Amino acid sequence: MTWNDKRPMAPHLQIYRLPLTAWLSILHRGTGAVLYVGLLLVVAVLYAAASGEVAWRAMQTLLSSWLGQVVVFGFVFSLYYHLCNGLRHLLWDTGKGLSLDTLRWSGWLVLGGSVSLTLLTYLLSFLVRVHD
Amino acid sequence: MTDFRSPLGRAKGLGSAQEGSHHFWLQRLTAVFLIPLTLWLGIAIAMLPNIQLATLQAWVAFPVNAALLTAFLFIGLHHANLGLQVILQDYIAHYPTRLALLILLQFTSLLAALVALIAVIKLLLSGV
Repeated sequence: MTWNDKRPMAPHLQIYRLPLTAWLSILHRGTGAVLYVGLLLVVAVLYAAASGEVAWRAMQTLLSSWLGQVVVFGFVFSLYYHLCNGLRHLLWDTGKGLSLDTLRWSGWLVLGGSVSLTLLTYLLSFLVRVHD
Repeated sequence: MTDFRSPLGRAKGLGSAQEGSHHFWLQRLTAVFLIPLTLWLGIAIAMLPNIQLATLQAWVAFPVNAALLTAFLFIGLHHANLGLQVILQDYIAHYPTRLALLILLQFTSLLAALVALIAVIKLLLSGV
């Protein structure tokens, strides 16, 4: 289908290139929704642990499958992203950090921070854990 | 029936329910609580020497860990519940569906919190 209307068109979502702040805002909600499901998963893991050795081993097998590892990684990143960007939100609630320049660099800082914290967590658990 | 109230009286009768900022405030308060709790939990889990059940039991059996873990789960679920509520209210335009999902959300969050509490208590007692 071709667009024949000659009148000016508002830059809707498929035309307008979203700025970084918009992507980060969407990601905040997205990770928030992911974290709700993630928390239910944490409760399920605890429940399995409380149910005894058999359930715990089944949960371990489930989480160490490749899909399980992807889910856990997604949860850890979502947690750190939502935490870092949440700090930005709390700063905004005080009326500070709302200029365009500040928003841009604090946005990149949040992205870099959450990726670094995720990698650091995996590195730490790798170094501490006893491998047998 | 004729309404004899003055415009001001009518406005007062239909006015604010005095709890407009309640949701906003709780979302922020739980967010602030979750900052140290999340960092603590992340480091604590990453520092576990292995992921055997006995290790987890011994960790939860330490009262401070059990208390903070429960705090993280309760406050986290409350925060997530408030957040998902707003998402449903924003995106589900069909009112009956929205209402049904909101009820389901409240039920799920409450149930998850209770299951979490019972699981922590059971782990706490089995790890002694």
